Amino acid sequence: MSTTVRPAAPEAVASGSQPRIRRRPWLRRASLRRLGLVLAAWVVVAAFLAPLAWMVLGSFKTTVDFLAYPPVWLFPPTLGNYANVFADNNFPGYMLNSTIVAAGATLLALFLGIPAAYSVARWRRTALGMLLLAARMAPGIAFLIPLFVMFLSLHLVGSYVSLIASHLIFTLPLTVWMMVGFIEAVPLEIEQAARIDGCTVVGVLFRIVAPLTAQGIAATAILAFISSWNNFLFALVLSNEHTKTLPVAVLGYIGYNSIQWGTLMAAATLITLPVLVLALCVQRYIVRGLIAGAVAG
Amino acid sequence: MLPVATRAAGFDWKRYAGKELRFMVSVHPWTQWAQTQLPALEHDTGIKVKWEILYEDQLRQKLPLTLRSDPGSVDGFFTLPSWDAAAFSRAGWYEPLGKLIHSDLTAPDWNFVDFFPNILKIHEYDGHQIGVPITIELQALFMNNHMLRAKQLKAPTTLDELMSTAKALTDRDKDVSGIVTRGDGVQAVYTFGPFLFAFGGRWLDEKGKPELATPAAVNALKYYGELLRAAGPPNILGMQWKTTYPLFQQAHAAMFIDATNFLTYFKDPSQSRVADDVAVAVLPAGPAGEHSTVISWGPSIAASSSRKEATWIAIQYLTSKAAMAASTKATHLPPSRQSIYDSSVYTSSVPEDMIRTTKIEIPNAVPNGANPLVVPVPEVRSAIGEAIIAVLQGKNAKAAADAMQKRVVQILNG
Amino acid sequence: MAETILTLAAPSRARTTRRRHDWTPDLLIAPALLAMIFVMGFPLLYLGYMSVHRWSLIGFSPPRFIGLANFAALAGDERFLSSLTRTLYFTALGLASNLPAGLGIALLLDQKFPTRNLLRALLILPMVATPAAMGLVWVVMLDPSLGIVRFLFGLIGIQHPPLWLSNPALVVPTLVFVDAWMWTPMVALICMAGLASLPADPFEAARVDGASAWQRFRFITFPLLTPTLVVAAMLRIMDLLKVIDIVYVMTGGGPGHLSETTNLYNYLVAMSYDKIGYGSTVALVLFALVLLCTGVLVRLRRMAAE
Repeated sequence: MSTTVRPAAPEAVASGSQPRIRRRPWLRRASLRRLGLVLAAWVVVAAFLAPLAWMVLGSFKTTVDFLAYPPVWLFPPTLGNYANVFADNNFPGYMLNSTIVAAGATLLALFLGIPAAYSVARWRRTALGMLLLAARMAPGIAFLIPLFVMFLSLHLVGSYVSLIASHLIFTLPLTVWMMVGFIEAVPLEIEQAARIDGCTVVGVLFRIVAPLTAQGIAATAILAFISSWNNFLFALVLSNEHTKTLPVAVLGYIGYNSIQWGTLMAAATLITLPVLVLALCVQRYIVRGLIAGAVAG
Repeated sequence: MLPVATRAAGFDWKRYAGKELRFMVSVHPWTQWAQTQLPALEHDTGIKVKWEILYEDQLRQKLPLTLRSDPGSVDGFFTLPSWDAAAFSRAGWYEPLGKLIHSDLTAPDWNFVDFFPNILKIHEYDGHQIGVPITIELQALFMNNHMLRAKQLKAPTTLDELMSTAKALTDRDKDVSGIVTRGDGVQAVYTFGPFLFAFGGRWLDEKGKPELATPAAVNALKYYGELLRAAGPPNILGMQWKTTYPLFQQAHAAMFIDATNFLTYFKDPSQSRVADDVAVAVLPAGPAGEHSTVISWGPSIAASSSRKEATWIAIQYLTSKAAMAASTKATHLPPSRQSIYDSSVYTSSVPEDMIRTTKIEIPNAVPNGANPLVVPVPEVRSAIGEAIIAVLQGKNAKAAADAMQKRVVQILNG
Repeated sequence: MAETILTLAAPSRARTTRRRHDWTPDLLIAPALLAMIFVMGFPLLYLGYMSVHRWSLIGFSPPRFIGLANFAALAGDERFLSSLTRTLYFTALGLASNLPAGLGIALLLDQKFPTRNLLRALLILPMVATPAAMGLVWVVMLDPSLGIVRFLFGLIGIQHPPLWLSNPALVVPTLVFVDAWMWTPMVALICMAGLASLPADPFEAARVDGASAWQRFRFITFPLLTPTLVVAAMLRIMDLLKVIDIVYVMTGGGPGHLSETTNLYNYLVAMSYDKIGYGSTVALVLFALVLLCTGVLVRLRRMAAE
């Protein structure tokens, strides 16, 4: 047989079936093709990252440089935009708000969700599943309108409480979904052994399941944090001047009669940087997190 | 420190010392200036003010909700009668100021009659004085003198001249538009107003019913669409003021129509390339003459406040003659007091052509003419905006006007 | 497995007639369930309640029961109906672009080569970047006079590219493009997970038989990957039908209403025009639409599996 072994199937190579390999591997058509694919992959990923790079680049440009066309690539960088962001508005305050709301929504989701996930994983309590699916499918506005009216009468509009509670709509389903997967990966024998030794269910949760799923809990927490940090609509409706979160605040970089382009880019960079870094830490679990609640039947 | 208006014998500025007030205001050069005066206010009156500055559309959402759900938590707010007056009055949120003005709670030299009567009327609704006017926002025709002189063109004074001048100044190859103004539906209602009035039209009839399908309205729509399609920027459709004014600022448009406020940004050399070339002129006249809109923002007292008197003291402090002289110097915007308007403070801070333009326009200007004075302003503006969008796409003006009339009637009845 | 633990948890169950119900699983799940009922269940019921009322928040008059009048009005609301068509158009364009592109990227990255894992990791960044912020960044990039996109088109000879966000015909496709930039990586990653789980045998057999890459894709990869693609499609449909963030931030629904999706119209009606009752009606209809579309897809998936 004169089939050339495709380098993209290394299993074949490793098993030792290398019939007619030419002496100069770098000239192989297949090798060149592979190089082409790698380059193509790099080009594609670079294209996806380009807007982010442009945002960061722009954050160091002055307004005058920004308004120049053709765009200037080499320019004296300025930290002025970042200074504006921190000096001008209540940006640090908004950052704090985003952190408080996201942390609160995440912690609450973990506190409620992990026991629930354990229940679903070990006892197959799937009633919750329907609600979780509905949460994924329903438009946020369907919850926001009644929640807004309810919170209004309770004088809670604009409070952290209302924001955190509303964010549960997406952080809790996410947490339960992710944790069920992680808990199922814990070998039952360990839990059984502990139960036989007289450990209560709660004890098992704290002393066995939690430590063994620590990495999963961390990943879940980060994903929940990211989804809360990025949320726009809920904050648009339920926050006020004091509890405004970053996505809503970024709209504010359009003044009464003026816009500051560079400052806008700096603000956008500051807002997205935390989640970009966090996401890279948990990139292995991103797919699972995104599917959360969708694969039903 | 702000010099306090002279203490006339017997008027005690400190009589409400110790009170704490909360104001909700929008982003505006005046509110930003006022914020810097708060320490002086506290020093001279003993009143502490929490001054919350919000962006306009956020104020529009949060203020009504706060006034309704948390009465008593807001003492004063910045109001734009053309937008708010009907709705807020119906809800009973304004405290009528008439009693306060003519009481002994008003400093003798605060001088109510010093304000332009036409402008005071803007802050009147249903016979009550609901606010104190601070800003006078007219619309004017801004021109790039350099570009006009290069083509040996004079400043247009009629709508026909405007059309021909704008077309002559358009140079697509050099990326220059003859004229630019708002192309976004809801926002364009504001700049469309003067054209409607120039053709003899109006928003509502005497009974308050919409009059948006009259020949005047159709002609105005037709003109607006033609003007901007022929001489406006290629992406005029949906253009908001945040994109229109930079075009003029960077010399990509020869002429600009919008609020007089924008002069500040055109004259600022750090952001504007036309600081030395910008000229201000009266809006061109149509068959029914020239009628700018004049709107005005100003502080009002919340009817549900339990600290109305203290709020009135604070408002007086920020709107006294001395205060207005200081704010005019700082913001370069036309003051609402006649005495300051005629004084050297104004004439030394604002270019002569702007002074002349506003003085000519004020008598003919339509108070609160920015949109129909109805309760559901956002929705009605949206419906009118649809008609403007339609003519900017080249669609038939009569059809657009009829649809607009139908929809607005539907909204007002529904 | 579950049965084992059940037996262990209540060993007495099989031996005595007195059944002691183990409350443990219910207690563990109760807090979460209660929380969801409070923030989701009850609000949805309240939403239904408000949809049959005329309800204003500014409070000129108390809420008034009007039966199905809101629903009737919806049927004649041109602005709502055009937003619906627009949303469906947005969704269709989104699916047509996201799925093939995501699959293509997945196939590209399915090869094993150095830096592949790095690329996979980097690909998630557009998905997690805050949509509201990135929307504004895109507006700057798409600016007709000063934007980098115009510059790039200039490099290939097009000096005056179309007006992305103010051209009535292009505004929705442009928004779909920005949305695709954000979410195609998700489709790609899901497909990559799917590809990784495919059995190797059919491919080996095909290679042995001399099938070309295209033939392998068409007759093996694609059919085997269909369930994965359906999952990706379901996720995308749910989000595309509900799109609001980037529309609000980039165009506000404009020019005029030419990019107004149903979700955005819903928001405006409830929060700007103060028509809470009518807004509730729109929300219910939108929810029903998502349920319908997802349900159709689930049905199709079941049919395909048979």
